[in-house]
Amino acid sequence: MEKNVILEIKNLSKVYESKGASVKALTDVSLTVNQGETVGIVGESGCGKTTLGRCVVRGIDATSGQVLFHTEDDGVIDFLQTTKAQMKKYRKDIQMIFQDPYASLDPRMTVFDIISEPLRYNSNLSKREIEEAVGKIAEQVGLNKAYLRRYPHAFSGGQRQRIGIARSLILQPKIIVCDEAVSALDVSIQAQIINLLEDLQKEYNLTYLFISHALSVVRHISDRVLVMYLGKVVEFGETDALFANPMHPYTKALLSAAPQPDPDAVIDRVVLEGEVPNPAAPPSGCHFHPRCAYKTARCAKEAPPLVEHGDRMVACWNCGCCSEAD
Amino acid sequence: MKKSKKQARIAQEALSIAPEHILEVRDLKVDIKVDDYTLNAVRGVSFSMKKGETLGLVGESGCGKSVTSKAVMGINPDNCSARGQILYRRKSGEIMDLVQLEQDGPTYRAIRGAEMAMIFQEPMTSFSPLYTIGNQLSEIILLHEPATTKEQARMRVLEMLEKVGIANPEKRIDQYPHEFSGGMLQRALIAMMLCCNPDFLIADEPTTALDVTIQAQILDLMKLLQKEFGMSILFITHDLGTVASMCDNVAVMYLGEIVEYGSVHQIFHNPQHPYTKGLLRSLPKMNQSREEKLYVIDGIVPLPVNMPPCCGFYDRCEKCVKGVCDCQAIREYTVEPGHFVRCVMMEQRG
Repeated sequence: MEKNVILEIKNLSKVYESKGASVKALTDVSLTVNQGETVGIVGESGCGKTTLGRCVVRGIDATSGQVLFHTEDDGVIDFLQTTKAQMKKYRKDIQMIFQDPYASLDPRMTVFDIISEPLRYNSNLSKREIEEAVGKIAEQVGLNKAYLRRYPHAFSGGQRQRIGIARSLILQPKIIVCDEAVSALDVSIQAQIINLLEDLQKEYNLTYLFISHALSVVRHISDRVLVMYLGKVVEFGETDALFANPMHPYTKALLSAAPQPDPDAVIDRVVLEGEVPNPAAPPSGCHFHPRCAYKTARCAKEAPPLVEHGDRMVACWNCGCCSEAD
Repeated sequence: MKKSKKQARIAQEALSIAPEHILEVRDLKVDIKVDDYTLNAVRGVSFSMKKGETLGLVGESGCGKSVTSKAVMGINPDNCSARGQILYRRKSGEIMDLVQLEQDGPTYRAIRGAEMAMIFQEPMTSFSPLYTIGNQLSEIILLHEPATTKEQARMRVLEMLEKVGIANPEKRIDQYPHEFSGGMLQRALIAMMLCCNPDFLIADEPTTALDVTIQAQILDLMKLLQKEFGMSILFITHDLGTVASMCDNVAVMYLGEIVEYGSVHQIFHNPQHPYTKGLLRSLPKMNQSREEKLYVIDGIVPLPVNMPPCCGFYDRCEKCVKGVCDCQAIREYTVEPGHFVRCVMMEQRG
């Protein structure tokens, strides 16, 4: 399949202002997403991965930058510049699946109402057509049609996540932002949902932005992976290559910290000292330098730009320092 | 659990466990009364732990792993009733059946905290927001060792905070929990549990709420402290990755039963129970081809209401033998020394 760019994020920044302090949740994040691919976004809490997802669906307004959506008929649209009315037209193309299947469904709506709500606002379908559409999508995500008149509390976590997925699919979106979509689920249910997401992607040529802190899940589902640290992209590249040979010291530490389900796994663990710094007062220069084993004098002074290294984008002054050390 | 003191004393007399063991749980059953029905949360669990051993209790939500550990700790709510035996060797060498003890009684209170400690999943909610860290850590010392002065307790707390890797303990000790990050609070919680030098520790998902790089730090710290203090750890988690790196032995639980028990190598390299196999296969692995589909265990964990004595996994199992698995109690089979599995498939193998 040829690569059709569907989404371009350019220099996206988000600053949260509160009394006297401003927190840079996102700094200059750029990324291009092709149709039909899955881009994994990983990082620890506070790295801005959720903010990125929300800015893309315009759940929150970014401070600066562009989110360019390539539409089929109207050319390229900047989500951040569109009016509310225009936005409404494109909202249906970009949907979201949330982390907590308990908090993201209204307990006072039946499952049918939850799944059909987007249709009622975004289409002129008759009651009957809506019913058909909901029935079809429910079947596809593995929900029993007989249970659609029940309320969310009657469903298990995995079933609720299927309801959330059905709701996000009903408008036939092109892009789905999955924010920790499987993190709250048990292992056996997690596998069911991951396979479901993959099947749906094949069938509808969906594009996923898959936000997660679970590295093994991200590796499994993503074509390309974006690693974030304190609001900045530190590394971006093809999944297999990135996991096999991380070029940023943070990526390397993150990968080595992930526990593997094999008692004999030889893990050359890089245990990072300290914790993620307070994003309201980030360290100077490269945000990662206080915890980095390879830091040089330059790292504390200047922030490294995201530079291409072959197929990879890396933001490190001493790029490759950590892979040579092996 | 409400028996007269006399009865309890008689019951305590003839107890013995293997000399190397610190804990033996025998046929533990816990029922939870909810509204108008009863959940059979733990359905006959038996295991033992050696001194200094780390046992992983693994399973998905609702498998009874937390209820089992809380039964050992004696902190299940009033609507739970436990039967069976939990034999525990106290520091004094005395062996007690914890099931017979009154949960709020003086003996249990002397054991909890001083000899047996627990760390919880959410470090953020395990502390009171109203008192300083130092206050909350020294409380446990002052409670269990009334002879200690406040100054002595403070010195011990400082020492413990330093031991768990909290930088600048003199300043930190007078701070409130909200001034700590999640990883630091988990360290403080570990320091609290170390204060009275317990020899048995229950860790209930201690790193689930933490980021991976912080999780790695905490796990390393726990291993280090275990070596130094010689504690036995009952490690409860659903994360098989953590188990592989932390535990000596693993008990896999499903629907209130231990379906498989073995050393960490036996469980990960030679799993026998269909549930264990499924669980391991459904996990995305770092060294697996990405083209491969994830293995899926169909269905969901059912609610254990009115459970007949049968295999809890039968309706999700590919290998289920109708007329056996769904209606008979399944006995434990020995695969090799130290490796047990509760599955009929073993019968056919001979």
